[in-house]
Amino acid sequence: MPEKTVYLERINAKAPVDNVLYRMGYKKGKTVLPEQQQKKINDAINLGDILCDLKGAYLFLKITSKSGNSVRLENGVIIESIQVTELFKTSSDVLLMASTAGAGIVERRDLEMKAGNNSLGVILDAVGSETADTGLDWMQEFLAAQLAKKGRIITRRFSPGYGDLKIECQKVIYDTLNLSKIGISISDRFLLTPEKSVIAVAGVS
Amino acid sequence: MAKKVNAKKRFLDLIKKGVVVLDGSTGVAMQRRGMPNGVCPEKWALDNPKHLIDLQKEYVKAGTQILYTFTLGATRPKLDEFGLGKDVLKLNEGLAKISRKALGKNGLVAGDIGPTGHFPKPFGDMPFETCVNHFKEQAKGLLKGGVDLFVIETMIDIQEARAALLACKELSDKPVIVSMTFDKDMRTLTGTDPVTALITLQSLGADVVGVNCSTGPAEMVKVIEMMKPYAKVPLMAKPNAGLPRLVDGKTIFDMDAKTFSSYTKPFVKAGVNLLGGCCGTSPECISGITAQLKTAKTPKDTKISYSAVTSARKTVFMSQDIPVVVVGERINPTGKKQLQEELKAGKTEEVRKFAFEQAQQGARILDVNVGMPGITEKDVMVKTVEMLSSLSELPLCIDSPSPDVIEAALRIYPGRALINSISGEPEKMKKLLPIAAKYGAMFVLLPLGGKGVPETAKKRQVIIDKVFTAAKKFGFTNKDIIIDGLVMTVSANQEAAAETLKLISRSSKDGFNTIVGLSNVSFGLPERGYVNSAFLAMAMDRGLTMAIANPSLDLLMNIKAAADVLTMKDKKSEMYVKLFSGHAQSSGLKTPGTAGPETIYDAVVNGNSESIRALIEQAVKAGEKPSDIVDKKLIPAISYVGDLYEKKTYFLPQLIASADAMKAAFSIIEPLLKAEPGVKIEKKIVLIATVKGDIHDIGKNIVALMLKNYGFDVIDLGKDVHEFTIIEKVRETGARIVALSALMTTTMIEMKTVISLAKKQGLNCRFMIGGAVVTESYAREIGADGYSKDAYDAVKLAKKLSEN
Repeated sequence: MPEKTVYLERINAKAPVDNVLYRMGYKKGKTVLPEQQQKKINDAINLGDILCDLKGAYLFLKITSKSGNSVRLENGVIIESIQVTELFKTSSDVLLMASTAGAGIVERRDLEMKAGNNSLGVILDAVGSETADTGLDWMQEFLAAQLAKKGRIITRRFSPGYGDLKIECQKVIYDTLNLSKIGISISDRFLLTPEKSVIAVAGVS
Repeated sequence: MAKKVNAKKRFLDLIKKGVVVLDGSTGVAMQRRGMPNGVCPEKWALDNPKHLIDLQKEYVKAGTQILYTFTLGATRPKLDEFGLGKDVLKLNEGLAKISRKALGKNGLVAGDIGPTGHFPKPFGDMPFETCVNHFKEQAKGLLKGGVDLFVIETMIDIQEARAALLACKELSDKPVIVSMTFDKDMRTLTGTDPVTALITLQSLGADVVGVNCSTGPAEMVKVIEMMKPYAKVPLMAKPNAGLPRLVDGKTIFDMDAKTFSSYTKPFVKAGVNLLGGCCGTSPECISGITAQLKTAKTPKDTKISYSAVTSARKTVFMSQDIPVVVVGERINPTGKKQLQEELKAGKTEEVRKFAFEQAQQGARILDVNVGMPGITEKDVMVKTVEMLSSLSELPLCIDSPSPDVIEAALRIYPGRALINSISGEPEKMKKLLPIAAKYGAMFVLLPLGGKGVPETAKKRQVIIDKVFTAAKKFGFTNKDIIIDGLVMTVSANQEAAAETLKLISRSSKDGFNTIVGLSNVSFGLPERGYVNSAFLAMAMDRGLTMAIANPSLDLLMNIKAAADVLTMKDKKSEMYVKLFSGHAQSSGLKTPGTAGPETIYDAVVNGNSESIRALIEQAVKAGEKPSDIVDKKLIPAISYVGDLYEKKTYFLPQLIASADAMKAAFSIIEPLLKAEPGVKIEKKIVLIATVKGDIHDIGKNIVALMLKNYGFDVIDLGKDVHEFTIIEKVRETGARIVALSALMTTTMIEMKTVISLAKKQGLNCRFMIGGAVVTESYAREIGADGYSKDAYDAVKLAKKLSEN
């Protein structure tokens, strides 16, 4: 496993259209989408795909110790969360990941909404969110396949801000991965910019 | 030099004799022989050579003719993981010598090179040359250890495979095998399919192309079957012993040696030339292959000839039997002010837009020309090619007059590109033919000799013969070359078109592909589209296979589609039918269950912001009272949309599209309402804000839009709003409802700050809150008057709060 952070300048993945629709409340078999509206929505999703510039980063770190509510990593970082500690029960390493859909999609969304094209805006917003998640899916799937050959498995992933993993944890992962290299910045409230950026941790058993 | 030739000759002789047997898995077998988990495998093997020698001898005994060195992870980035980066040369040299010793006098040792674990540009951040240098460093060690050839294997990224191949070829003349790993969707991790990988790598000079790891033999036979019709080089396969299964944390390969080797004959039938095993295989599996090969019938190799360019994810073929390939011409700054400005500023949005649009409009290849004053063409070309090769799946045509620019682009392009162009000018030929040959590119042959434009087809043919003769010395065939018909303007010389057509006929008969840049023909004439389209159809009749054109021109593209049918390039007219079959059905959207012309009500329900303004203007002109339009049409329509949304018949973009239509309607009708006698507009004020520290405002904006459409006077304070600002605005406006939004757990606490402050100051207003992390119970906890889960819910809540 690489000891240095691996940066992916262009991830060859698009958000699945079904996921984008689902995020906006589409219900298969229930939602009725007339042809003309469907075309508009498809065009907007395609535009979103063009505007996204999907990048990622990942790093494996060894777990040096665990307590009931925290996991300590080889670089001294401590992840405090009962849920994460439980999830990493059998893990010897941790996978830190981040992905961003880039600034272009957010800028265009804001422009469209400012111009009153709110429908296009919400679709671009959904494409951006799903694309960032797709970046994590892509990395996790690829790394899981690589690790499977060595008899190792990756747990499900967990993002700061969910469950009892505090959003503050976003900062230590941000610093460890040096995410400024893929154009992500973090605020003193731990908000990531570009907005469509996500960070996650997973265990490796 | 003689020694180098011998290595290649020995390799080729071995392949000519029949299917060559490779070795099987080494890593897992070494673990079984005591290699502990977590150590550097290469270092351990070098420190414990007996285990490796014994295993490799077993493979030789089983019939292995080409033995891989145990150096898959011996590049500097991989060895750095164990703090051994400084030992690259020593480890590779030492391990190559061990394999040489194990092999004895017969057979060949292949220096094994694997992925670095990092990704070169355009997919990763590693500069391409850094990647090439890592592989060169490893290859130097292997050469010092005496390997006979190189094998680059388990590659998941075509660009990294290219880097390794270039490294080996730039260091020595020894043969190179390149083997990719495909997943269950028959793609590498970065999206390359087997045929595209084959064409890219064999063009770049791989002596053998193949596949290893990731799947069992049954799936891998299919990969060889896919590659074979396009393989100009031998093919190799090294499958796993079935698909891996995790049992108690250990990877198990279920397939036994007998079952594994039973796939030998299917592999041979599919056209494999070198066969071995990957993960989970053993010397017994290799013995099985050797035994099976004794009775396997090798199919006869057939001569293969075709023209194709590739991107990282797609192959595009050209021939007289398939529809004409349109090369999109729009990524060219000439006459495009915005593109010029963006290229100067280092921006890429316009290029991305052109790439996407041209692909949508039917281009199969993208011409990339960034030549303009005020930029460094080479840098901008490299950046643009990197961006396009990850963004678009269309192969690229590198268009520049500068050999340096072309070479820089070809080096980093993760596919087989097309060069536009190589002319008969001696200096251009001298520089560009070796470059095209090194990178395996196809090229457009421009029949210019440096002494003006030859006017007749006959004179142009002389130049073509000269360039082709020189190109053949570099290994090019007529299938690698596309003849430019050299289109001149008919308004200056009416015979020009006929000469171009003559040249297209002649070149087509000689087996070349042909191309024309269409727009020149009509220069100076009115209604140029007709002339261009007519000329395209005529050229297609003479055998034209490609056209550089703007695919957004409907007339041209439609004539091309029709001519593809009439020249029998579009088999069974399938593409033509697909292109035009939907046209007769197009009609405006109607509200479900309604018929006749669109009404104001329909326009809201269908979210049609474009038509609603005109419909309202018509209604007002026809004498309808604005208040009636609002009460009888707009409000019932948006209420119906709300119902549809609640029932999930509509989802968010439809709800918002209707809201946008309402907004457009109110922009016209509101001033009229104010002027209507007897109408008194009394709107309830809602103050809305995203709280301090939070920059997310899309949810807040949608709620504001919906509230406006339902008759509220919404004052939007924006995002990241301080509590004092909110309180001050409440006092100033007398708002009775305040809507607060937050997306993060770190910022939602600010809602409490605002509400506490308002209560402390005795303000008589009600608070509603919402946002991704906010809940009903949180609303209660902080003393808010209500929580809404989405924008429509917010409308209902605001109505309720304003009534009480």
